[in-house]
Amino acid sequence: MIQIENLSIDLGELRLRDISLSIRDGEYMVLLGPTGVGKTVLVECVVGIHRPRAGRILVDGEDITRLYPEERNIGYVPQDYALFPNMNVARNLAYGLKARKLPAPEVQDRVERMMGLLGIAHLRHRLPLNLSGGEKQRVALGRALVTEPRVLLLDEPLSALDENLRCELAAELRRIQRAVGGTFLHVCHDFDEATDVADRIAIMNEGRLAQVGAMEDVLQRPASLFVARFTRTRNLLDATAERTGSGSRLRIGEALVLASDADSLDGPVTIGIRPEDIEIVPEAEAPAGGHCVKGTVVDIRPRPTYTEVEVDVGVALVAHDRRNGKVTESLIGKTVLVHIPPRAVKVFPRETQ
Amino acid sequence: MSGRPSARLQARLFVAGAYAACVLLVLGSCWLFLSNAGQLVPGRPVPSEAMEQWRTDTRPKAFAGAFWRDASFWRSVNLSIATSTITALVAALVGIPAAYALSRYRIPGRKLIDVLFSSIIVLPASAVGLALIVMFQHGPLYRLQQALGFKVPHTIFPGIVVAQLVLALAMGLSAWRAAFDAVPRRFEHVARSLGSSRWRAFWTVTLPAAKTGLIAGFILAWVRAMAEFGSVLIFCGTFRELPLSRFPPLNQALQMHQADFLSVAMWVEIEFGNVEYGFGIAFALVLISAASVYAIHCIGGKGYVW
Amino acid sequence: MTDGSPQTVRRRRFRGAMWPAACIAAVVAILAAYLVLIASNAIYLGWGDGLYFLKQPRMWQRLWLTVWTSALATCFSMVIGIPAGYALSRLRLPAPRLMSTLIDLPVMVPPAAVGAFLFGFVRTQPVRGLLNLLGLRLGHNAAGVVFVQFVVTVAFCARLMKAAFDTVNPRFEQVSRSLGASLPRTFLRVTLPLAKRGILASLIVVWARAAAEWEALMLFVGGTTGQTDVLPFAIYLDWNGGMMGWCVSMSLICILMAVVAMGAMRLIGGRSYVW
Repeated sequence: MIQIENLSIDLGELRLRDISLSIRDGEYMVLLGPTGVGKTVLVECVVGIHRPRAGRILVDGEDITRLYPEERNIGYVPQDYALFPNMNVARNLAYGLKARKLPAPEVQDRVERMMGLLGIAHLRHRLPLNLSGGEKQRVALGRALVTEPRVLLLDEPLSALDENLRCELAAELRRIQRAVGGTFLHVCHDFDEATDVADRIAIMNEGRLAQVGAMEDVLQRPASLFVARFTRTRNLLDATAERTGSGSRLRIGEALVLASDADSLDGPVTIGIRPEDIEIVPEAEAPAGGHCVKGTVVDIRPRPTYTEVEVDVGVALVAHDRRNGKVTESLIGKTVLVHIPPRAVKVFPRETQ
Repeated sequence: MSGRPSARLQARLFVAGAYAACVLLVLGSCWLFLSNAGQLVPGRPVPSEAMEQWRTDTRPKAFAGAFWRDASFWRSVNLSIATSTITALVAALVGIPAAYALSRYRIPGRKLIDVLFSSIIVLPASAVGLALIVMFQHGPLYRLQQALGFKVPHTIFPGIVVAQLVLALAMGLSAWRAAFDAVPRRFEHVARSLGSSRWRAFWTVTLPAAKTGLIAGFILAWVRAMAEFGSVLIFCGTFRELPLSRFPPLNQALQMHQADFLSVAMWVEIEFGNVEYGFGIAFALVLISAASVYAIHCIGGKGYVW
Repeated sequence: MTDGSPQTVRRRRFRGAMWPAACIAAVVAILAAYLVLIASNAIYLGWGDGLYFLKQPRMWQRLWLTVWTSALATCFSMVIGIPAGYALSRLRLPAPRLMSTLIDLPVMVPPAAVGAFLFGFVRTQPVRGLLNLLGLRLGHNAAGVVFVQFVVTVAFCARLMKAAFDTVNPRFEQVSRSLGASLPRTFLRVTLPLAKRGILASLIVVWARAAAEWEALMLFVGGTTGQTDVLPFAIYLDWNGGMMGWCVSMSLICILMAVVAMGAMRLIGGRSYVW
């Protein structure tokens, strides 16, 4: 159980403000955010590279804020992997164990088992400069894991790799985490990468945590406009809200009125609708329950697992249709019914620029 | 495993040791100069183990301890600063293009040239001075001088400048080369792709980008020129003793007659027992050097070591 | 720009080539000057005379004296230079610019002045007491030579070590510590091996600098033949005595030593190094 309490630090231009985060044992937590918000700084604080101005870090109830890195037993895989260039793979892996003065047979045994788990036994005598990106990542991972740390910190582990390698290795990371039963904190800036691996995600912006929760929570109940934008809520529109009994009524532009079951203040707001929550229905098949608006299909873009539909209902909306073949290119220019359920309309206070 | 005390202690001792070495250097440096502060008080000379080389003892000893009142001291300062500045300027004029060439162009034998140029920095000044004397008095340059009608060795201009130039140029080259190396070539390629000539790309893109390093190199060359002693001594000798008539009118107008290069003057004074005067000059030299070195550090300019 | 006639192109190309030509000319001029300097000395000496001087036992004695005193001074410099270089590179110093200036001062001040200052330095407490304690007499002897060379090179050594440590990415040390290695262990197993080339190259340069030192020696130690006449100093002494043959041959040997040292440094240090 890792607890970060009210952590604050100032490092020149980067600052962290009052960060509080809990990571449960055996959990895969992803720290997500755009570049430059302080994710790496937070990781470096947990490793022990920087001393925070305020706040505490507790591991299993023990306050480690004042400890040196070598005393914390926290695994660290930095962004460029930092494999020691003067040592081959086997010696890199054994480094932490030797530093703890473990007896040689045990060191050998644990290194062998880790190499087996990661599938890198054939690389044991190679030098880091002769390894590919994926191989380097595995060795860096193994080096940190073999010391059985209380938590493993991975700083952008997949950012340096090719696109097609990333999915494979994301799955690998997940598998290894399950096999080892460890607690992982994975830092990245790519939302898709987070969806591949995370149990819970923490979204960070400008030195603060915007939201922490399970993937479903973050997608369906984003805490702020920033979170909605970052999690690919494509349809963000300015609107005027009016409280009703069961939620609110939102007026967008001149003609469009939508209902939402979110409770909101009256006045100017911004609403967000996830593309996959919007249903495109041919005019004939109106679903029961209403909440449909008429619109014209502007463009249809087929994708591997869904079809992206751009439709004009007075404002431009983007919908993702996953019904495989129901929505085809023949609908371009035709009038359709756009079904937007109230639960899909998320309301946020209007941000003044 | 909660906080291994031995690891913490080891880390602390290690850091303390590193800091201690630094502190030792700083304190040692300060004490090196301060321990001689007594020299500035008249009447307390430290015995000098002098070498009896020259015996012209016409200098009045009344200036002991009040060196700043001696007009010839200020003339020496004048002389030193002027020659050093000229040397640094000449070095920059020749050295900056040369450094650029070494940084950017693929010259055959570049590695060898690098080795040759950087070896000048670790040459003893006496070897340099001697080699210069031989070159100007016994080589083809001797006949050239006779033909042109002026002498180079044993003169203030251009003698001291030449003696300083060899080492100052080498120092500057090293710093300027590093300054140009720090500017990525990509910038120049882009400038040229936009239509700039190579000169224009250099002048408008590379030079401003390398500005701090170049200025730092200039100051380094200047400091190195000021710190020159051996080669000036051997190549030019002293001028203090010479009668006024030996100095061309230009030198007299510029207040540079009957003065020595500062470090040479210092040595001469100490050797002749005018120890306080000599130390006064030494302290003046320290002040000038300290100001220049501080300026270099303020300007910044990373990536070079002299 | 749009006029593409061959004449204009040729003219433009010619004008465009002037700057690179000037740069290369500068290099050639400096190189030529250096080579003429060496050549005129070699010619003046002559082959026969040169060989004669090379056979003199006094020449070899002086050379040996230079080599071993510089080596010893270099060792002492490293003892302080390595930790100081590490501190300058990795640790935060208060008033860093002021500290840097103070540390650099003995290197940038004219060595003759340093020699003069060494008078007071060794004759006043606490250094005098320390020397008495260690039983060292620094006078007209080799100990004095080593001492002076040490004083002049120790700060230079620290600077070079700083540059060497600066080439090592701090990330490696952070990872090593996160794996549980203590700071001294990290330094020995990770930092030093990665900085190895830079340190070895610096060693050679420091040695060459110590071997080129004589002005401070002249002021502090004085020239006693056999005891303190390292090569650079001997050049001056013999020049005063008018023995040009000796001077020129020793001067050429010094130049050769410097070139060999820098060549070795370049070989060991590789392209990534600062020089």
